[in-house]
Amino acid sequence: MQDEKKSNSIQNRLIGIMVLMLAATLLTNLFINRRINTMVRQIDSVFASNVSMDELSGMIELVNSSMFDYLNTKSSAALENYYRYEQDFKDLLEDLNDKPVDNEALNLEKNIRRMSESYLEKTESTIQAKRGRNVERYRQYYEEASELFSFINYGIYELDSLYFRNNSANYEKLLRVMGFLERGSVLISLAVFGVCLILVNMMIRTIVGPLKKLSDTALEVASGNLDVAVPSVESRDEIGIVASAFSAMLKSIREYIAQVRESTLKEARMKEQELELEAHLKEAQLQFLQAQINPHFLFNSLNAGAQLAMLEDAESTGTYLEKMADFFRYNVKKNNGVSTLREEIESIDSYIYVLNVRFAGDITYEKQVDESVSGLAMPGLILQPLVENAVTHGIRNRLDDGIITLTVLKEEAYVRVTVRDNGEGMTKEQIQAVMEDRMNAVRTSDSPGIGLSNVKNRLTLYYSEEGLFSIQSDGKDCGTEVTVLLPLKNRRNVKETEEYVSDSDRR
Amino acid sequence: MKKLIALVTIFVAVILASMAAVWLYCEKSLTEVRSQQEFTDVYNSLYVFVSDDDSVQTESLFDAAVRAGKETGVKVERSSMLTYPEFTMQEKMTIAVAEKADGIILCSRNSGDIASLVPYAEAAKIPVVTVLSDDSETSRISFIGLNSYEVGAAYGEQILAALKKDKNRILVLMNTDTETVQSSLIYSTMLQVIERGKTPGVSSRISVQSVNSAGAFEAEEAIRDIFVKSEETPDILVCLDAVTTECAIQAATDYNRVGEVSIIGYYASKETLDAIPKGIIQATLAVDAEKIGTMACEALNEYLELGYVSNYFPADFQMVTAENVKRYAG
Repeated sequence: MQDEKKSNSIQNRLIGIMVLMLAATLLTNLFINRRINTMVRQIDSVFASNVSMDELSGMIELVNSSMFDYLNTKSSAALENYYRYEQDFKDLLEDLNDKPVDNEALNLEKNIRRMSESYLEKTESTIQAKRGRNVERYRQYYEEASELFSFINYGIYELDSLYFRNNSANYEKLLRVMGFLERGSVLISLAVFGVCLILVNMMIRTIVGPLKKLSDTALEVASGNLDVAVPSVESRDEIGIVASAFSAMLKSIREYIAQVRESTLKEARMKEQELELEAHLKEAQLQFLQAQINPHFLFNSLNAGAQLAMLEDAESTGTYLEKMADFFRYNVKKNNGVSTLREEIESIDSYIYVLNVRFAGDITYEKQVDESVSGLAMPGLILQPLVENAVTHGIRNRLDDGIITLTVLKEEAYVRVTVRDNGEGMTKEQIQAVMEDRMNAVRTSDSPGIGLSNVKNRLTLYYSEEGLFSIQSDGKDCGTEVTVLLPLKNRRNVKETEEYVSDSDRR
Repeated sequence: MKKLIALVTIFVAVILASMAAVWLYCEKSLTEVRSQQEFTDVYNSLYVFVSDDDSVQTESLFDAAVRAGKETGVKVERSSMLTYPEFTMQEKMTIAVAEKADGIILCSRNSGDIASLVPYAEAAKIPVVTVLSDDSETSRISFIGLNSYEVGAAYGEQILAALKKDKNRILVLMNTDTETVQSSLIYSTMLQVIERGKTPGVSSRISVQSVNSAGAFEAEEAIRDIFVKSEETPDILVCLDAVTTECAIQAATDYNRVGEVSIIGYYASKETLDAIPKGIIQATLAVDAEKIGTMACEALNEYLELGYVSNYFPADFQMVTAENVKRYAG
């Protein structure tokens, strides 16, 4: 995989394309250069045959003149020259064709060569005749040689002309080919240039295209749009890697932001719950404070009254005042909002005792409590409003047969606390209004208690759980049953219970 | 991207095709240039054709000799290959000998020159074959040509056929170059045949005019004069060579004498054959020049191979008239 990435890297691709372009240019240049060299060499050799004809003509002239010199002077130098030139001439003749063939120029060469050989035979005979002082003979031979010399010169002239005609035609042809080669070379070079241009363009587009898309996407992201789609880059080069990394980074940012947003929302919600809970508690306390101006002063005064009654042996009065003091002390003490089921029940006991004194012992109060759960922590001032509501709205007008029953039962996950009365009962509309917070059923101007809605909301806020509060009534004069479910395994409940227990232990 | 790849592929293909085209064109041109120094056939022997005549008949004869030589590996070429200046027959023979020819085909219009030409070759031991004209006294190895007696008889027959009225003027145009033994024999035979064959009561006056057909424009001028001067215009005009025949045809046409003058010509050139169906000329002597050329080459081959050869090969001829001209024209 690593090797594959390496082989697809931009660097390798750039090097590859450069090498390809250079190789194409090099090959094209080599091709053109070779062609031009071949043509130039051929053009150089075009008139070589004319040059050789000139040499031949000059040499036979030298042979003839040296022979003439010898015949004229019989000098050794002339003879020496003659033999030297004769040899040179023979060497030149060796290059000429000697066979009858199907080629006009070569046939002329053959004729010139053969005539030249005949001529040399004659000149040799002439020289020998001269050396032999055979005047008649050497004159005859000289004339014959001179005749052949003129024929040979005609032949050379004709061959030279023929070569010149052919060579000129060839020269023109080669010049045309050179012109064609020049134009062809320009066209080929342009075509190679075009291909290189396209290849470079392709390569740059391949590299820059995804990069541009990526930069556009990055700009979008920078402007705050995290929902932009990352362009798919198929190449496995560095840009592909950057694109996939950018995509992964963007995904992580999105997830992180979602997490932060969720936790912020959660925190805000919790904060809101806390504030609401606190507000409700404050409301309850305020109601007590409004109802009971300075309860400390009141329950201290009540305690003083109770002690005074004890001193005067007024036991009932003493007990009454003591219960009153307990009740108000509990209310003051539960300022922090956390209590136990036992303390709540004790508070109800005190409250019922006070009411019974007030109403001449007409309220019948029964309770069935599972003591195993009496230590369960719970929000304070929950049960007392229920009992107060049962008294105020349930049995107030029928104290004689009114019964209030408190039941505490441990269930699998909850402790079910029920406050039931056999009083006036509630209509379905009233129950619904209470459950929907539209009516505070128990809030009346003369009531010092806390509303049922308040109780319901505090339970919900405290335990962060719905359905812990319910009201049941079969209608008018059928009594009312208010049920509160206290979760046994609620995280907060366990913690508060442990803290409370330890606090109690410390006390 | 696919489009670009296709474009690049096309470009590369065009480049390769262009390179191939340039390469092929250059190679083709170079091959053409180099091929001028190349040859296809190498010959074993060289025969030189020595001639003082460039008539159609001689050309045809030479071409036939070249073809016959090629088949047997012999190069037949003109001694006048050196075209400048105009060489004499003696010089041509000298050149042929100097070129070390293996054989010489001698085609001289004047048989009288042959005796002076053959010795050049004889000295160099080069065999000589004479064609069309001959000198049997020389050392030439063979002669290929017409039988003068038969030719004269053929002309005589045609003259007899042309005789129409009581008095006939017959003019025989003789080439000054060919006024030799052969032409004399032709003429005398012609006379004999006419005398023997003419109808009683028909008189004929035969005259001879010499025309130098080898000289520049001389033949045409001489024949024009014959047709222009009506008192000299013959009833029958006998031409003994190809040039005078063509001149006579042209003059008869130009001076509107077709039908008035019966022309008996020599050699079956295309122009001559075309003139026969039109009635411009009565007949022409068709010599198979090609066969003579072939036979000359074969005679030399035979001599060089066997050391001897027949000293005479008669050449065929035919009188072409309106009746049989289609065979030749076709």
